[in-house]
Amino acid sequence: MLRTNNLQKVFRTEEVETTALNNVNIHVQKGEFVAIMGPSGCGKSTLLNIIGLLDNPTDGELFFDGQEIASFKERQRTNLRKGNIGFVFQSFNLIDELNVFENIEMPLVYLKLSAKERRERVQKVMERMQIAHRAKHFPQQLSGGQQQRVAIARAVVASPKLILADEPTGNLDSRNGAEVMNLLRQLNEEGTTIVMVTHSAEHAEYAHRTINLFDGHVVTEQIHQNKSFEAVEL
Amino acid sequence: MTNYLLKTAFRHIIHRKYFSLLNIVGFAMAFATSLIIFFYVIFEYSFDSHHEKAATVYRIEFGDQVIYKGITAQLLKDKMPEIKNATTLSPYAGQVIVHPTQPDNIYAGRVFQSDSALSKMLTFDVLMGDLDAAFIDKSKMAIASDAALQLFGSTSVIGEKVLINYGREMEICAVYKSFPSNSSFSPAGFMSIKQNQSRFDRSESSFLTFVELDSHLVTERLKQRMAEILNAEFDDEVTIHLRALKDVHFAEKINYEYAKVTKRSTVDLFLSIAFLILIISVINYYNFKCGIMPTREKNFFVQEVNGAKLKHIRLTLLIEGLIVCVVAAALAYLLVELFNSSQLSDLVPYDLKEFGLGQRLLMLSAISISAAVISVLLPTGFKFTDTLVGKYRQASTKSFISMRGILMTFQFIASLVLIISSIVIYQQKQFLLHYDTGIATNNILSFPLSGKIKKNLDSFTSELKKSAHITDVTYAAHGPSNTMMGWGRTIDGESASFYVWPVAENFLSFFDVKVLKGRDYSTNTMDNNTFIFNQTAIDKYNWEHKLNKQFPTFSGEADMIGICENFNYASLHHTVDPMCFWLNRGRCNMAFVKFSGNLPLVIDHVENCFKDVSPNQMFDYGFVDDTYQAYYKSEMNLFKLISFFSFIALLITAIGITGLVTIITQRHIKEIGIRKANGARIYDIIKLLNRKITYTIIIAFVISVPLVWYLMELWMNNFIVHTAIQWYYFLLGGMGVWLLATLVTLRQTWKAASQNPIKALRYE
Ligand SMILES: Nc1ncnc2c1ncn2[C@@H]1O[C@H](COP(=O)(O)OP(=O)(O)OP(=O)(O)O)[C@@H](O)[C@H]1O
Ligand SMILES: [Mg+2]
Repeated sequence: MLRTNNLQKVFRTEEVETTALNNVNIHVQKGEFVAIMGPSGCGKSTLLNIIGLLDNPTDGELFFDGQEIASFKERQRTNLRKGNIGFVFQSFNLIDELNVFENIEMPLVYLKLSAKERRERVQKVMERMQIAHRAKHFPQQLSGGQQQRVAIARAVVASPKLILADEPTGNLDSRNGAEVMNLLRQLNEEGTTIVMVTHSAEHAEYAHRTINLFDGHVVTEQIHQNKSFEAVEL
Repeated sequence: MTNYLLKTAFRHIIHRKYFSLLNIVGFAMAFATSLIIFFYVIFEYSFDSHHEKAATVYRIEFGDQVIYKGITAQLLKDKMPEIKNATTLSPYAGQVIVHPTQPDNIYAGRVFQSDSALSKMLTFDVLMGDLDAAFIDKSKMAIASDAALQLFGSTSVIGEKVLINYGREMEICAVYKSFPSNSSFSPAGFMSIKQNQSRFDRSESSFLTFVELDSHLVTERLKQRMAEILNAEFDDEVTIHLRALKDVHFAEKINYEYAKVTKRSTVDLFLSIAFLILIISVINYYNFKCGIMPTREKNFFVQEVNGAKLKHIRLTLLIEGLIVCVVAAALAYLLVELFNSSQLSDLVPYDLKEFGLGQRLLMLSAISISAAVISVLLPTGFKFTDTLVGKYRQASTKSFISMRGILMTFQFIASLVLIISSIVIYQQKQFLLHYDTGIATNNILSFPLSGKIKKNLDSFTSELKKSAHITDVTYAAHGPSNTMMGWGRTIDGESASFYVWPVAENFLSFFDVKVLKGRDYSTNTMDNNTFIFNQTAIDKYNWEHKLNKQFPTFSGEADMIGICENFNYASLHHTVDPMCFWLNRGRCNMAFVKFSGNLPLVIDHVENCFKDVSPNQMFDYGFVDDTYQAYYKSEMNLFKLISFFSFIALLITAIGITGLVTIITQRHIKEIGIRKANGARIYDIIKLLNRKITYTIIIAFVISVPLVWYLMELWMNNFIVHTAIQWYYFLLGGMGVWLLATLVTLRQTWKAASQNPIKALRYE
């Protein structure tokens, strides 16, 4: 469902030119759970942002469901993102002025769902993430782990086809981390495609496959034992 | 330490270039405007203050007029021991002083008759000679230094002779310094009231009365006693009002007013505009300061961790404020100079140059320092320890946001009130300009006659009429005005008062004033001295039956031969009061020439005719339409000024709105990124940010509508005729403000919303 072709990203600032991605070719199939690993600064977040249409590649192509999308216009990008892609950011990115419920509700608002349906869906996700009792709290009043769960709830509430998660367990202790990972696996088993960045080899084990990045290159790909994934290419 | 504080303050100003610039420009405009207005207000409120007794000398007003019997002063002084001094003035002694041997060398200005009590009540700066001699000796007079300079080129003119109104010869016995420009009356000269025999005439009411009293003695009871004395003596029913000399300048709705008056409400309107502008600019500064406070809290926190005290942070803020205000004050000084050298300065009724460098600097410092201090004293919502204990922050941030919401609403209310009022004021101005006054004033040239021309008026007329472009010529004592001669007479045992307009025989037909009953003047000399009254006079005094009956004049009696329609001979501030035309060629000092066709040719021809007779006198012409409008001109100028200052205020508000929207948008940049990542379109983002501003404007609109309505109704009531306030003025103003705010929001939001969301997400 997702394929990149010689993807390249160069950041130009006044002093330096950083090549964050260099000829990256990856391939994610529908229903697959892929982990991306690599040392800090190797370009993991950059890759995820480009896949999620939050940023433009400098060069190369990006296919989503067989469609070239790197050259999409603003309006097309928005329409594609809406309801199709859910994000979990490395730094949560919750809106301070909105409470937990409202933060989670946001993607549904832009899908133009009715208030009633929104309430039902948000309620369901909050229960699943065990944050329903915090619905009226504001982000500053939550612990890091709770904020992380709100961020995940927001990413999944619209039932997107693809979830992009940037270190979803980075701020969590091992128990909470495992909980989040179980959740992602559950979602994946329900059919959601997941691409996740992580520093933890243990958490990467939850995925079908790990892609190792180094200095903007894909160095190795490894398929995890007992998790062979057979997918129908679309 | 101070060095360090100064450095950080400067750095911050430089670092926040955009906001510093907005602040400085806003403050500079506000300071310059309020400086001009404050000086204007000082000028208006200091009228007649050069008279030491301005607070204890009172003008007596009889009902709604200032003129009454000539023996009032003496009568009151005799019967009321608390009156220290009392004096009688006649403002109708003369309008021009003429050089004895050069009939074209004239000084136009009112000459008053009075007695020696006057010199004890007013403050004269006698440059030369003996002032009291003018009040004692019937053949002598005192003249103002300006008149002496114009006529003789010097103030050493004791013993020189002058002619009053081309007639009576007087010897100058004293020269006094002309009263300053902030005087309600500035007589060109004084002479003795002894010349005026009609002051003993009990049927004649054309004299002013001034008394000097300790102000604590001025009570209702005292006024009542005065009225009783007068009513008993003259069998009259007047009520008495005492107006201190210092308040004469603000007298309103008084008939036969000789003084220079201004509406206090207008002066106060200006004053409130000045304060509004200052408040708006201070709120702007405050809003900006608060808006960027959250990003500074981190810095303050780091400073605190490193040993800074709250005092230091406060000091940094104060120094910042002062620096901004000082720079703004310097810029304001330049703006005032700019204003002064532009045509706009003609609109202000006072001469800015009268306020010197020292006064300007003092005023600017006072304004700027108070602005700086007030901006700093307002709470910022920043509590020093809050940054340490994050959980309180939520609450404090909230309340401070709503505080800013209130201030923002205030800004919008201010701009709405200004815009809508400007529209109403503009409409009223247009209404006055196009109001049909009932008198034909188009294409009429007017100019003052010279002494020689007056002597040969008929030949001058025929010379003028030789031009094919000149269709008619007439003469009168003056053009349409509200400072006409007023006569008070007892007629058929009833007191009546009316304006008198000396004119030539074809004056009414010339100006299309219709005669309703009786007949218009003819060229027959039998008509000399006869009267044509306006309808108001007839209605007010029931004089219908007096058509073709006799009326008293200055000397003897003359018939009322006609009744004419009412027309607006003064400004539209005045109702049409009783008045009459008086056929009196001898008093005609102005010529009126009706023309059609080529104006330069006409002027050329008229000037040639004029110079043929009086080669040395300046030919100074005007247009009746202009002069007619000159009676609104002071008002029109004030209208223009109000519009101009409102525009400045609006500009400052716009700066504030720009800054606020920028701050709001910047604070939301990250949120914009998050929302876009979650499927929001640019449209959704703009809608989101614009919604809050739109709500604020709606609230402001709801508050401003009744406010403007009330204020403008109040203001328009000053006019006899006025336009109606239309509902769409409000719509126009509301839409204007909303559009402005939306445009700024759009511009700012567009930048943030159209870039890649990751950029927004990385923004801190
Ligand atoms: N906006 C930017 N401007 C300039 N350089 C950037 C920008 N964003 C990322 N980079 C650079 O690109 C490289 C890749 O950054 P990226 O955030 O993708 O790393 P990462 O693999 O996610 O690291 P981490 O594990 O620490 O999150 C880094 O060297 C970074 O400095
Ligand atoms: Mg990263």
